[in-house]
Amino acid sequence: MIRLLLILLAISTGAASAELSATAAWARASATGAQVGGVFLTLTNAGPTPVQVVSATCALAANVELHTHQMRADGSVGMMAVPTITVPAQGHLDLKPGSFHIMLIGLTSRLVEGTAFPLTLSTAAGDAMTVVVTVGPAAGMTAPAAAATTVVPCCPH
Amino acid sequence: MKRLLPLGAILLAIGAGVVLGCVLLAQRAQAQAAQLAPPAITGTAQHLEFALSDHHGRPLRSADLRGRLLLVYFGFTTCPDICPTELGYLHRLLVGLGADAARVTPLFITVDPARDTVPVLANYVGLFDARLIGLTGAEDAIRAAADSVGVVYSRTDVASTVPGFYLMNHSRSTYVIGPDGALIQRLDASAPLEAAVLAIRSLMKDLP
Repeated sequence: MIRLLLILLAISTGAASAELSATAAWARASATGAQVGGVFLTLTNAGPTPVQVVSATCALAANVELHTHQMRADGSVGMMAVPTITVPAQGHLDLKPGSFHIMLIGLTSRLVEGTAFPLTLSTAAGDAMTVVVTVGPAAGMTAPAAAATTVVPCCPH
Repeated sequence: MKRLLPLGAILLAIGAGVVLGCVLLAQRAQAQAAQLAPPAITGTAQHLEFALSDHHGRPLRSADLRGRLLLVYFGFTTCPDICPTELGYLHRLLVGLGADAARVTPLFITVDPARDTVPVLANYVGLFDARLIGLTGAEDAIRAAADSVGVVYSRTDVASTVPGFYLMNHSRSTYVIGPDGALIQRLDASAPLEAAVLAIRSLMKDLP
């Protein structure tokens, strides 16, 4: 029922540009009291020009950032916030473990496996798209089956 | 005869194609085999040394675990992607080892003891594997443990509306420690899982 509401919410939100769509949005389950969570998804751009995702918001987190990995000179690895994530024209971009991801900072609620929550992405063109994020196992590397089939089109008119 | 020539040429071409295909396949198999054997650590052996507390608050020293094969990951719980990726790999590695997993001890040593207290670790490690032991301690005890096997880490402040929020940069490998405490090799989640399972199984032969 909650899923259905979220999907209806997703369909009713947003402005112009039906070119961007999202599939397989998922997050890893978090520990009790955990401050952070990572969201992964595949963004597909059916349009003739690249689409830049510039920000994201989520009611479950105080702060949402676009992140990628950075290898440092000493061989250690860290996260780095990026101002934009670009989805190529008539192409797709996988936000996945070890690569681009959306980071939830200051979680106000534990991410429980099997549940779902909305996340809103905004593009440089001013469009907004709300995606349903399914929570998978903490040790997961790919979207749980429940998330894999969910297609959320951006911003229907 | 003239008609046969093109046929001969075609057959020759097919033959050459098959040979080339075989060579390419063999090269690929070789490349895969090379990947299957993670590089062994050579030179002066580093020995894992620590005196920390486990996620139940009980003291645990490296000396207590001599005689066992250890799989050690240094990370922190406020780590959105790298640590879950590597700990998920560690979990799948233990699953891949089947009953043999009872012969190894998986450890998660925090590099962020300020936030990763005993209760925080207790909530965290079980998310990945019930066998995983979380370890924390004083800042200098953590640094000594990391230094003993050449793990590097540093705090990195990130701009955030969450007051005092920071992340840690850290070595990302899982460290395989032999029964004498010596660092044997490093595993990375990007390496094929089957290769790591084979590598760990082969190390078990030397266990007392």
